[in-house]
Amino acid sequence: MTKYAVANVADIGPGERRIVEIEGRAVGVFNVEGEYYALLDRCPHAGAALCSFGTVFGVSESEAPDMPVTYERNRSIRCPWHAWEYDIRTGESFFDPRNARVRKYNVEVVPGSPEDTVDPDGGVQKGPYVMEGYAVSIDGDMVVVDTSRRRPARGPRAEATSRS
Amino acid sequence: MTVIDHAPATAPVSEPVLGTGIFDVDIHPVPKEGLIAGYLPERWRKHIAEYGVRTTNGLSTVTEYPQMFGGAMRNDAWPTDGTYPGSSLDLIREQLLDPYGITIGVLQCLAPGGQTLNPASQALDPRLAHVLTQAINDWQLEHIVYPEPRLRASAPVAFEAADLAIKEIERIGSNPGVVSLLGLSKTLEPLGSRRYWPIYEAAVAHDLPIQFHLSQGGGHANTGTGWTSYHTEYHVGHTQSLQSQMLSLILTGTFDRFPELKVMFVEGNVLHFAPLAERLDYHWKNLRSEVPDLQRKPSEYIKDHIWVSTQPIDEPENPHHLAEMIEEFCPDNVVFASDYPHFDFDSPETVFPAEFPDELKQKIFRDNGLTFFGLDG
Repeated sequence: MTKYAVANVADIGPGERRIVEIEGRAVGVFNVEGEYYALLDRCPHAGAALCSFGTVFGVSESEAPDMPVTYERNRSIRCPWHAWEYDIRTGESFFDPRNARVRKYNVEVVPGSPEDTVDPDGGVQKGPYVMEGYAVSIDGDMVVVDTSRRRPARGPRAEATSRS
Repeated sequence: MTVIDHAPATAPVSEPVLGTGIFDVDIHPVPKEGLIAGYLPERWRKHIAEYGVRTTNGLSTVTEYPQMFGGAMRNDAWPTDGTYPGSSLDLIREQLLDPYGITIGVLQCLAPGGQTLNPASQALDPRLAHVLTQAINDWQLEHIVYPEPRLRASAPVAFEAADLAIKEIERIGSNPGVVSLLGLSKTLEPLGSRRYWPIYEAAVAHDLPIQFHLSQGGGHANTGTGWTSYHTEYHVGHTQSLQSQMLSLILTGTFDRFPELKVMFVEGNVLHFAPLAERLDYHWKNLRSEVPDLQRKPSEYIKDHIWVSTQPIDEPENPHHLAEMIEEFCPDNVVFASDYPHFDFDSPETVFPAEFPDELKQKIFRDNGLTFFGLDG
């Protein structure tokens, strides 16, 4: 729940990244076309240094064959080891292990899941996992990383407090 | 070409230091540019410069394995001095041996010659395959194994020319730095074919097991139904060749003929072998009159003769299934591999799910490797 000033704006130019240590952990801070994002420098899959060596890339998508293809620049980061993909803004994973299932069944929603259910019909879709990320803001001319919990709180306690 | 760091071929190799350390049976070293030339006769140096190395995929500079994006290397494995991943012994130590406590790492040198996964031993001119494999063996001993006691060589040989392969086995097979022969998953004929028996005989005589690493080439389409259209299809299809090789080795009675022969399939996953072995037993019950001289039930050959390495590790969604399927295959015949510095590297720290049994982990990280390579723990 602390805000850390990690760099001057000028230190991280567009397309650049910087690895900083916050609360004993390595964190990658990215400047993507003027927007700043921060993720933990550790891939949840097998522990590779995701931010130090990951590739930031754009993603093409289409609703169906012969439908228009849209392209979103710099949407994701790819792990240097097994190429797992995360949304660079939110840390959401695009590797959904449930796709291997044929039978539809109840899904337990973990904190940070973008939707309450996962479509079992496959394709690349947002999975239920979100890797650790941080809010980044510009305060004056400093890049500030906020370690407050970024994922929406869930469960009975969260419901009780949000109703108030 | 200048040979740097030249060490005498007689340099001592230390005894394996095992302690509680772990085995890694699949590490890919690459000679620094120009280094292999120094180990080649002038005639072949010129030949390679002028004509290249034609291999079993018929081409000298185009790879059948698509793209090879980023050299299929870990993004973080590129040395800062501009050399190639796997060419810096210091970086192998720093990124692999030191952090994970690997005490025996086995080198699987799949370059140079043709392209990646289509190495020297597949050169169509067997004489060229022979001199290239000799050069690789001398290079890996002098530049990696002698200076680093934790690393050992797997020796490539001209597998499609048994007479030359045997020459090389006789030349370096007794060197304590060599712990296995290096074969490939794609061969001109199935591995049980009698053209390879003399190689098995020499391997057994020198107490060397054989590691068959996943490869391209071999002179056939890459799957049983022909050529694949997609990289994904090609990549997944690799396991087919190893499945065919396993059936061939067992059903030809190769293991009855060479009771001491031990083979390992490297980088071909583990789990798919389990149902294959069961299916093989099932059909053999009805069809065993076809192979009346087979001395045992097919799956029984696995325990004594066929090992597999873990990488790329299977990741079933239910983590318990991994251990179950390994138990199903043969828990004493699975050995850890990292595949450093390739992108699909497995880290010893994260390769197994949290609920993986400790006893099985100990076997895979250490005990099974000792058995396969015939080392004392």
